[in-house]
Amino acid sequence: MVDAARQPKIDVRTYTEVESVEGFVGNFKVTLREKAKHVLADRCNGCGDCARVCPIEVPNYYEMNLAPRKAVYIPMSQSVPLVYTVDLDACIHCYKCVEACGPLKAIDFSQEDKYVQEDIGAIVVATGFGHFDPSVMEEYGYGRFPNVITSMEMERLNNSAGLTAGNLIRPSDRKNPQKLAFINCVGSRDKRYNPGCSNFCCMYSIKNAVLLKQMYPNVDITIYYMDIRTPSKGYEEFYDRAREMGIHFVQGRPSLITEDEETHNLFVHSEDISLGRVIEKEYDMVMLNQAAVPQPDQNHMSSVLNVVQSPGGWFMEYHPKLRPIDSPTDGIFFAGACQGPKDIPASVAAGSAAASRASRILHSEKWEIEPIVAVVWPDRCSATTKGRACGLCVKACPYGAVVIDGDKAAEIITAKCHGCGGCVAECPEDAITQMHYTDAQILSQIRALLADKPEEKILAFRCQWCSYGGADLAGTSHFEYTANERGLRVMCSARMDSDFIYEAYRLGAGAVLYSGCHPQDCHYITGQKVGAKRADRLKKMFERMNMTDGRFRVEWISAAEGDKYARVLNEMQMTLDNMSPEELRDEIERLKPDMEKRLKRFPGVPGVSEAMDYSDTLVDAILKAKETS
Amino acid sequence: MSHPAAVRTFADEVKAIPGGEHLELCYSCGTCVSKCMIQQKVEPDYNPRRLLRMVMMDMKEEAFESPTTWMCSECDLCYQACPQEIHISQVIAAVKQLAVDAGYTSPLTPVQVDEALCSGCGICSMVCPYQAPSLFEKVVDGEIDRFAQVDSNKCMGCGTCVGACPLGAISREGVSNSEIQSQIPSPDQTIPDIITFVCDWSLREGADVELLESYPADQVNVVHIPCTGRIDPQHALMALDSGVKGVLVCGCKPGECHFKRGNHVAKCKLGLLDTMFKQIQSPHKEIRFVQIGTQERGRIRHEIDEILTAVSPAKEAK
Amino acid sequence: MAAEAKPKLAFYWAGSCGGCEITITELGMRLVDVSELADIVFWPAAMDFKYDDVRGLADQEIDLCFFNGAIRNAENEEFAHLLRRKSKIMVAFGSCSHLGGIPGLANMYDIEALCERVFDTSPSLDNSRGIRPQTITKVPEGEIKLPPLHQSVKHLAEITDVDYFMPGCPPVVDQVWKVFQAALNGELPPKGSVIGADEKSVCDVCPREKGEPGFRISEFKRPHEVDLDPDKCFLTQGVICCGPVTRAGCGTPCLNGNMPCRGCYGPAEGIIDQGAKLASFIGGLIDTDDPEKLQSILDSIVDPAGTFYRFGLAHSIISKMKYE
Repeated sequence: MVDAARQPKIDVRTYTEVESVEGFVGNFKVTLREKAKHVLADRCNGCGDCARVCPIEVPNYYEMNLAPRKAVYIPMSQSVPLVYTVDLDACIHCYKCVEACGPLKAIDFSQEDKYVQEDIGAIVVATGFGHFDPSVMEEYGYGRFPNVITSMEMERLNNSAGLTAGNLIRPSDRKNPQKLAFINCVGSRDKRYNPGCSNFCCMYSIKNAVLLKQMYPNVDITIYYMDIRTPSKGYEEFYDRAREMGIHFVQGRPSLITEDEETHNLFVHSEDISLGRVIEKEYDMVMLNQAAVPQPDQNHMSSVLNVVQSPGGWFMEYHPKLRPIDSPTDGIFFAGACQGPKDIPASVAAGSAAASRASRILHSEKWEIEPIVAVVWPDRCSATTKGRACGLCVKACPYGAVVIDGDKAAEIITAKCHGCGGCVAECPEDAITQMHYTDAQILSQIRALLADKPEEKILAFRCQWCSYGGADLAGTSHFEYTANERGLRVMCSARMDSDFIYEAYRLGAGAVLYSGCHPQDCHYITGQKVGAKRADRLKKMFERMNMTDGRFRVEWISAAEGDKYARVLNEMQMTLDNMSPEELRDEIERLKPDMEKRLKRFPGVPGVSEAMDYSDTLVDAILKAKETS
Repeated sequence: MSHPAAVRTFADEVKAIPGGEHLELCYSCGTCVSKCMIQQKVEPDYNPRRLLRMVMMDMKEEAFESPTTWMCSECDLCYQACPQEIHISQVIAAVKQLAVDAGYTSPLTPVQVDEALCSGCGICSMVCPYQAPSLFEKVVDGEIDRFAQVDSNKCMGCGTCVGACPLGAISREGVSNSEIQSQIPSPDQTIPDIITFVCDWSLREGADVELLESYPADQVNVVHIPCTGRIDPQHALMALDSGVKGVLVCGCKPGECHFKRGNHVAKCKLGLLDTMFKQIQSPHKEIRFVQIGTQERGRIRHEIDEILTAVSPAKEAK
Repeated sequence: MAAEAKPKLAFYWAGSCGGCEITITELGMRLVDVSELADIVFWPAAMDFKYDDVRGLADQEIDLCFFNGAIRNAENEEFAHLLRRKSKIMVAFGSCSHLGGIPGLANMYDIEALCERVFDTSPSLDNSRGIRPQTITKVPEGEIKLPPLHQSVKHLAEITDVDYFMPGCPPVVDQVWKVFQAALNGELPPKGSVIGADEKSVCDVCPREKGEPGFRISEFKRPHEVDLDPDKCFLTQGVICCGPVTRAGCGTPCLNGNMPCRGCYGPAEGIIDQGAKLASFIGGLIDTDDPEKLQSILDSIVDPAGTFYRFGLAHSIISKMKYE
């Protein structure tokens, strides 16, 4: 940290919050709020005279509230920069600090928060993780039993720079505990709180146990665990070492802690799974290895940065395997545990990777993006034709890439567009198209796929990232499914225009599958939601039309669910098999006029009527559209 | 590629019964085993985690014979504690249902009906948390008469029906009226300061249970009952009538009753008794109902000391 | 001499409404049979006898005495003792002498509060001069005496030895006839028995459809608040019925009139305290699914003591404890 502060190309801003992030990759405008420290950084020499005279004491968050700090404080002795801060919430304005500071005149109560805007090329998010509060788990008595502590409290209690100078004492009577229990997975791997594994607690509790055992060879330490996870190099060997040091490991998740009210000793009730027997053991102190959880303000940061969150609240990466450091927004990268629990080596690796990903941008004159962006035909936008933009495109865009400026036609900020196609499908005026996924191109595919005996075919719309992958996996895994399936790929279910579905049925398709990612997996933040809403509408509409149940099917299938893809298609085939050819033909014919009615305006979309005639003008239309935009 | 048709496993059968679905989420952490007190108190082989394992490993016979299948009283303490949110009691109930279908019977001692005393009022069948009793009709002396009967596979032995039966017609060994009344002292016996009716499940094993036995006979007389649902206010009154100065009924905290609802039933009964005491303005009332939670180690000592002090201020509380 | 051979009968009313006496008159023509078989030597409700007539009898001269009414005052007690001494067989006749009956409900209040209510604050009363009856009032002709009230209402067996208990408010006339016949034929059961009633409870003879297994009550109602189904158990309609704890033998006139059992025949065999046992099964019937609501369900029972101990309060352990 000190090195970083000294490096001239690194500008460390502490006590500063990111207020807003505008712009796009290479061109972010970031507004920062530099909070008032009420101490002038260039004058404060960190001597601490102010804190010595300050009469106010409040709990020190850095010491897990186990020790006090003054109202004018530095959070820890190694603080960088070494500049004091006045906590106005606690301060009683006695101004003793001003007096103590004397001629330095570093304390300035008139200081106010400062807002600054910076041009930023790339952003690395390294906001870390928060801690699960075990007091909600009444069974462990944290908060009621003084000698039940959290792992972070233990961290302060056995730290040589901590409040006890490394002398491990227990809160109830400040004696050195002789018998300790560590409980793993407190609030993690627990569907009631956090279903996920917190990744580093196993190693972390072993580390604490080993450290304590080295310091106090006579202490008796028992680690209660469900599974010990030592997946990295050297970890298992460390676990071996801990066992050889005499640290006990009990497989069994304690269900209850009770306390002797006189001694404040604790009784841990657990099954010892190896014995298959319930054991109740007495300890002087119990440490809860609390789950790692997203920071309390992670949701807020997510909206400031416009990055998505995975289930559980962690920031979501662009791709879990192939782009694990990138956010879905170009130019924003993740380092460390803000993205999910990571131990130190993994966090350092992620930090290095994020730095190198960011520097690629900083060193480039130009930045290439995927060419599949959306493009507006301004003359078709309702702003032009009706004098008022409907704004559906703005609503559909997960990236804020569509803007409507006054009464002007909608505009796409190309650098921000990721090409989900949601705005294209949502536009009621057909005023937006997507490069390489134009209506005309998709229409041509639909026509080709349904050219021969359409009533026997199942037209499957798949999204690039999930259901297409699912279909792929079904194929590579040799899961058998109906040969009547005809797959059609778009980037996202958001692009699956109602017109495509109508056209498929108008052409006489036997069945249509509308498939995409599970909502939490969507590659385009909320693209799936746009698609799902539309699919819902379609489903209800077809129900009203008395379409046979199963001829239109909506399914969310991940890239790992090849079996599901095969099953769904087979079920759809069964629906068709259950209908006689006459029945099916009658239904197709019955619904056709309705579909035609709904498609009345479709040929008006640039390129579509030409595509319908299999004309070569298709390419020209797109080029023409590009020129006008 | 073609594969042979899937074999329907024991796990499939259990999962097909509503409640059994999430069986396979179990990762064998053992929380249920230590949350439940059956293993420590009654049956060392009781182990829900293992039963779930047996189901997953297709060990049908072992599962049907396991005490876990029959002894779970569906208190659902484990369900609240299960980090995988598996409704364990329902899984066990599904196994039990299959076991009963296969002809296995419960090893527990059920309550039995004495038809000579039964009036066929049906109260036992209404109050039972498990709906074990029901009414049936038969011809007695040429007339159709109604009697209660008990499904022995459903009865968990809590005694709630025994406490409610107006005529003492339903009972089992250990909880009968005569056995409880015999523990209330008669005038020629030593009269203790208090009588405490203690539910078998309200105190965890260890110090608290031992404490109960440590009071001298002239101070505390302990009557063990399987559940406070068994409480009969008549017995509390008889105790006071015998000269005892206080009655302490000790049950489980709301939500922790071993037999689903016995503690609430006791609360209602004793609540009614309390109202009647107030209405009648009878001053000699020291009937207390305490509900002790699994985490409240040592509380019973305070409760006994408090009532002892209240009933005999002069005597030094233990 | 034939007259001397006839057994002697006595009837007396202590603290009671007189309904039990009316029951005896309801024997109608059968009374003629009774008078053929026995001599009625004392029956103040129907014939002109003086107290001194009883005092003049030899001890145990009365063969069978039917004593109804609770012991409310000194006069009741004096006559209980007197008749006991003069009678071979003493029958506590009707709910009041059996259990204290309706007058026994007075045991909820102390005597001062009762008198205040009865003589001062009752809404149907105008006693602006605050007159209270006195045990001794001087008048020009001498002294008028009223028997002093006891602190509590007692049932007969509480103050004197009772041979048989015949429950009912009032005992039904057919049962009275049966008891007469048994007594005159010397076929009475062992001393201390309840006569003129069955052993099991009213439910045993109640034809109503009982509750389904697991049925629970989530609100209690009073009979007038419900359109009662005549074919279903009252409890399943949320109405408190004392039938399960009450001795049968009454012929179920209340049930036949679509009214729940009020408990006048007293506790069935094996029940020690009628009200406490009632609380015991009512408590079990309460819907406990939402523990938050238990209190409000309990609160929907209007006057539990008066309902559960409608006829048995003076006989209850709680009342006994109060006046000990």
